[in-house]
Amino acid sequence: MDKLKILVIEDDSLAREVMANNLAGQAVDFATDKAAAERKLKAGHYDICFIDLLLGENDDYSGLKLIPLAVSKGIYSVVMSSCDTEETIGRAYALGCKEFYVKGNEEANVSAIIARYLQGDGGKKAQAVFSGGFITNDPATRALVTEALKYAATNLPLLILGPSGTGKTTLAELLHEHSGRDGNFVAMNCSAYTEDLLESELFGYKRGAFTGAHENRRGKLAQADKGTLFLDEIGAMSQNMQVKLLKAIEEKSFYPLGADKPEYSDFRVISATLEDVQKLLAENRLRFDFFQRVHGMTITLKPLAQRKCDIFPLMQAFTKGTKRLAFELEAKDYVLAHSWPGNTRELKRFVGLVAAGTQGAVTLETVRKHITPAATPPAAAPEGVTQAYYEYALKHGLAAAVDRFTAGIINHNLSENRGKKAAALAQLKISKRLLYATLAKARTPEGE
Amino acid sequence: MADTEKIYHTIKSKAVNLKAAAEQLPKYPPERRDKMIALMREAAQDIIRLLGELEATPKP
Repeated sequence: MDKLKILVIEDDSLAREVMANNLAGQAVDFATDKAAAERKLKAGHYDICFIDLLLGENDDYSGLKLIPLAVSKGIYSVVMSSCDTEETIGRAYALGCKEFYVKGNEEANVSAIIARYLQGDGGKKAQAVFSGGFITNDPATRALVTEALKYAATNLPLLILGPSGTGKTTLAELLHEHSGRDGNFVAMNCSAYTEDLLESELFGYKRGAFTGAHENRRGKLAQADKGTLFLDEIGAMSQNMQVKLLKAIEEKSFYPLGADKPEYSDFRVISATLEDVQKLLAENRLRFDFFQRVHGMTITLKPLAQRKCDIFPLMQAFTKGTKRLAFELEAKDYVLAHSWPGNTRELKRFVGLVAAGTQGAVTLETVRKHITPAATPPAAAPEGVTQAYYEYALKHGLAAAVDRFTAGIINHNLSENRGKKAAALAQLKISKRLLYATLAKARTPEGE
Repeated sequence: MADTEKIYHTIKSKAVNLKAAAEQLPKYPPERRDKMIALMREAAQDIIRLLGELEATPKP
């Protein structure tokens, strides 16, 4: 995300320092008096302007006079003041300011203001998010991501739930991009490490800490300083490791392996798991205190099967800048009928295969070749319907599939009864007409 | 705004800034900590000066 351009009009040097800290990660400019503010407002292009009302000890609300200029430049104007009389607030709003807040809770106020600005930016930024950062046309998922973005600029921990491949890491990255934090996005899959390895990866180590530690190594916590630490599969972490990490999260300090002094890191935690959190807690695989510390706001992402409107937009995104795909109608239907148990990961693999092996429009045959029945979970097909029958129905139509099913049952029964038609009529409770019609069809070669 | 009101307002503003700075200070990187403390000291001195001015104003 591009940095927001913010002008802070504030005469007090301590207040400017506090604001600089609260707006870390954005492009911040300061004006200390009315004249400088006017110059900067006229010359610059700012997204947001924070205006202190009194600029100097003997000032007479010169901040108020700056509001119309800022508004005329299309800047989202926010008044911050310790003077919160109804009259002043009313005048500020009448002059066009968008928000008025009383000084004293800057950290929370500033984050909330930026989040509101991003949300209300004519929908442009939201549109950019859903067509780039997190591709989705599903209204429920859009609402969920929009809600999560409100918390992006805070330091609150976030927990993302959802099956594998639903976009947990993508969402975590998006939240980091909107957090205004200067540091890196550092992702780590806890299930990919043994306990010892996880500890050294997270906390880092000093030279000589253990056999093979030939040099100092910074851990993920240090790498995420002023940034975001994304912990995927937190349920795979041992209880012991959860205790250590909980301490590091709360104190923002930790001891690398072999170190005798703590190191400090200002990281924000976003965690994720595909498992049932309540089950993890009930089975004591997730410590309650650790869970309390990391779960802040919880976001549950839906599998692709529940947001099929995203399948083709995602395919477009996966082929952006490369070969674009066009699907024949039958192929499209087949793609939409598939349950995509591997979610976006499976879809990405499929797109790669199809793009590499297709000339012209994508046919049903190509699609069927790359969506293997093995990738379809048994639960996807209703009881009694095999994948083979399902695919036959897709290819030849439901009526043909029913005929084929009927013929199969009748032939099986005749075979069991050594060709006795009377037995078939009685056992299958069918009419003579159906029996003979089916047998006649079976004798007619397909295609005639 | 009357002079006394302005003094009250400025004291309030500076006290609020001090509070915000004090809350941020523990998380401050060491290299910026001294600068922040110096600014906080200035704000505290301003508050003391303003309180002196208040004392000097006629009592209502």
